[in-house]
Amino acid sequence: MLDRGTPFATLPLEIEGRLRHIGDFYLDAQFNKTEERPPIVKIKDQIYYRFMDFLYLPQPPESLSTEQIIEICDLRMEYMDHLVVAAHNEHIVAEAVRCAQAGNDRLVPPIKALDFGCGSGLSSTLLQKYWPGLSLIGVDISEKAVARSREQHLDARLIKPDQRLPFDDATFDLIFAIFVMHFNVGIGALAELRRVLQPGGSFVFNVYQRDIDEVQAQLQDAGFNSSNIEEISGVSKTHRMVRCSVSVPGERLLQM
Amino acid sequence: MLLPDYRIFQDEYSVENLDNKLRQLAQGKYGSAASPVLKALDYAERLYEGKQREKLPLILHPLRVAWLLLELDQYATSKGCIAALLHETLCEQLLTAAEIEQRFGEYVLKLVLSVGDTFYSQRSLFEDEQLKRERWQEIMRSSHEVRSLRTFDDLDTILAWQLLPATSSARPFLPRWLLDVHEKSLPLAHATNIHAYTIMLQVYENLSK
Repeated sequence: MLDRGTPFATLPLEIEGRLRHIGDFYLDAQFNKTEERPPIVKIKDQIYYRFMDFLYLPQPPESLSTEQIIEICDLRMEYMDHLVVAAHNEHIVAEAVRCAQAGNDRLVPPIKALDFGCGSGLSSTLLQKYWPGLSLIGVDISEKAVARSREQHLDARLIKPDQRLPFDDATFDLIFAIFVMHFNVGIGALAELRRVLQPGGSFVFNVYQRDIDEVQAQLQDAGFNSSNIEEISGVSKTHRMVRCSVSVPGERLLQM
Repeated sequence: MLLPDYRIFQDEYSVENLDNKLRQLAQGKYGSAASPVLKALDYAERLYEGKQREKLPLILHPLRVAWLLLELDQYATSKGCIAALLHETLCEQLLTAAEIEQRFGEYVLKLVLSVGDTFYSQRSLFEDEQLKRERWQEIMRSSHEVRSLRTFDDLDTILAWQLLPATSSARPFLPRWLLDVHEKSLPLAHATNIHAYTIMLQVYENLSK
């Protein structure tokens, strides 16, 4: 069972009364951080899961369809200041950089990195702050997110779900996915990340409210054959940093 | 979103066809990582050989759950598929938990245990309602793969109710089972997989007429 808190409590009437129905979701646009919010609630006789404090989803994040994930990304762009806590993002990016550097002592500049699910460009900007000189390309499935990234002069590209990434095999030394893997990107997308990652390179991501065994099973199906999982200081125990990789052929032989 | 025609899923009850479909789907979805699924399929077929339920081969249900999972859940892992094939082996006492863990690993065992009981057997009619509700709430809070396995387990059971002959001694239980579908299986499917939910809702409405 995951850490989703006490389930099935009632949403206070004053909150339910002001919810806005947007697509498949409900949003409490008053953004009052002092109110108690149960994690799983019934709204109009249907069960909803709380996400990013003020959104209610008909499925937990890891069960959303790709179309719904794009809708969430777009909503996140629109209500960025309320839904995204910049300091929290900065902490996670700093940890991701530390984790990536710890596992890659053989990296030689220029280091090519992919920011998978770059969103508004916040993660790319922070990655460059904590790892100056990183040669970074961002990709996202949301047009709005890519446009926002480009406004900040970042190299961001729109990708289509379930399609080949627009990069050659083994293009990147590192791949980051910051606040992405709480969604379920699927084995096909993970296999694409493995294809564009150098053998011996690292795919580093934070993940929360997911069964880590399920995430590892997907990584294995996608061809990643080694992973390192750490708790992250200063956040809940279920929030983890994962660094995984595909062993280079020589290493694989040694392992055998 | 293009939704599947549910009749496809209610009409397929041939062990041979399901076996072929599963092999093709697993190889298409997992490539070289499909090998453990194919081995588990061979193993399950040997385990269930000759065993029947309601005058049908016992293996039909696990084969169908694995097939529904691979067809309809884009996020299903190879281990999830293996768990679907094995999910009846504990209650049928064909394998022990230790044997499942030793052969297929801790995660497969965790998944098998998570779908180990069912709301729809005659046995459950007399279970304590509160316990059943707590168990359902636990599943609603679980990972996608646990919810998905349970959803497709429920879905296949509900699809099979359509095959119950009018004279079946199980028929009188149907209204009670449908109440459980309304209270538990449909919300679970809604929280997990839109395809499963749509099919389940159609079958539920047909059976409720």
